Amino acid sequence: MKTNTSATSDKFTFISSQSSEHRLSTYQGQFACRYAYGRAMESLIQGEKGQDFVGVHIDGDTCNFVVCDGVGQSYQGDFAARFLGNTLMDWLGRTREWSSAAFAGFMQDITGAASEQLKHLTPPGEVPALLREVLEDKQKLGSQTMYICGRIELPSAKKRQGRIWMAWQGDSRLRFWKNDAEISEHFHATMLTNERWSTLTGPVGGLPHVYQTRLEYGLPMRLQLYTDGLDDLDPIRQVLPDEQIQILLDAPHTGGLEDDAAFLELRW
Amino acid sequence: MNYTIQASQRTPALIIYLIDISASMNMLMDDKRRIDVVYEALALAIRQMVFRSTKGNRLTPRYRIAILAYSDDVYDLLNGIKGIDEVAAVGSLPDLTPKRFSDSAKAFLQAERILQSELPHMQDCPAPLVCHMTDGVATGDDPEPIAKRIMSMSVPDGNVLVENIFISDHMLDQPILQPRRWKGIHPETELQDEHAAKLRNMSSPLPESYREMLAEADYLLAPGALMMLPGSCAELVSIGFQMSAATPVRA
Repeated sequence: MKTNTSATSDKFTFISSQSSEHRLSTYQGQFACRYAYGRAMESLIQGEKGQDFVGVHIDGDTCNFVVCDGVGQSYQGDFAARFLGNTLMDWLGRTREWSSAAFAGFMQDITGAASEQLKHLTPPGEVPALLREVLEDKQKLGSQTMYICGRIELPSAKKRQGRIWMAWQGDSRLRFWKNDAEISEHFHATMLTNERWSTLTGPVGGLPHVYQTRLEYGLPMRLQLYTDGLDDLDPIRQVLPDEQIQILLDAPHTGGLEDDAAFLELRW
Repeated sequence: MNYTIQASQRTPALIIYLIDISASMNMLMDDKRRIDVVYEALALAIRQMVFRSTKGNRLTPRYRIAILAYSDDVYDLLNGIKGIDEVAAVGSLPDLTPKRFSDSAKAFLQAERILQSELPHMQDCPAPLVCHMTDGVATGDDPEPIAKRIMSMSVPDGNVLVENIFISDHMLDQPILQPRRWKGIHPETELQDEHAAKLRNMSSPLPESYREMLAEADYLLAPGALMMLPGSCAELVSIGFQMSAATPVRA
């Protein structure tokens, strides 16, 4: 997969590549968007794909976004993250009215296509027999990923109310600030490690969590999403300068990232 | 000190198995020799470690293991500590052939020496674990003081853990009919066997992180349970070996 970044007249798209790092970058339109992608040092040294995904598409006053964290212990977690990330970006782009039931149904419906693709990703032949057997067992259990996705429609002077819609499963971080006050506590109880999406069964550990609220005109807000590879960010509430976020991504204190990291921040 | 450091390539878990290969291990359990039940359970635990150590198609050495079989002497079956990737590359475990006596003190002493040499290099790693499997009374010196010394060794993640799997039909006053619903052995559990009581003294409390990992595999041990399993059937022996590999790892 190649990195896809484009920006024209307040249209902007970024889709991470799982094969390379993307240093912290900024796009400034009606949204201020910061995004980055990094692989675990282990993966980088071995030349392997990262298992996270981040995608964002801004079109004027609307923004669609997806962050995925492939489950390393499932079969080819990078596949689930990439498949679901791209599929959700497409779904967000063509869906206008959402319901929790319709979203849960969609997450179930896409398992057929995902399983069909995964079937072709067979374990390599040259690995030890025990590893091959374990990989074959894992393939039968499917590929899994955690995810957060959503869409923002900004309010304007003419349209005084906008809205934000989000859905998620897993323990990736979803942090939300309203007028500089963090209101993330609302989500904490639902960010659960044992919840995810599987190519085999769809939602795992329960139905997707869905949040929707209106956005008021003139009220500054900040939404920050990242995977657990960037958990050093957890105690930090203030807006960090770019270079400090990049330091967390470079992770010199641990000789590089210990896990893959995807980062997305939106301010409006 | 809360057993939460995750096993990774940079911070691998160390597990030392002490396997009793005395003559009584030829006796039958579930129509198999006890030694064969143990062999299969150990092989399953290693498979579980491989399962937890794969990322993509690659096996990352998140676990390091040593296997010491003992009778009247100690036999280092892997010739030192080996990474799980090296064990998987070999493919099969060395044979476990029952011999005569059961000198567990010698095995614990060798485990202690391994830990003394390894701990200085494991300060960022999960607390090591010693998993002892036996089916009878030790015939040599008392192993308890050595096990206690081992349990007092520590890294920042916690004290070294000692687990005991005791193959016996007479340890509890009632059989365990549903191993997956069993709550475990607790400090106040009544034990019918003096040797079992000794082994309980040599067993660490089950860390919460291990308990949660076992719960994910549908084994519902209660808070406060000890790392001690009565190996009265093959499934309980298997739970014991799975417990040894329940070090937290990144999902």
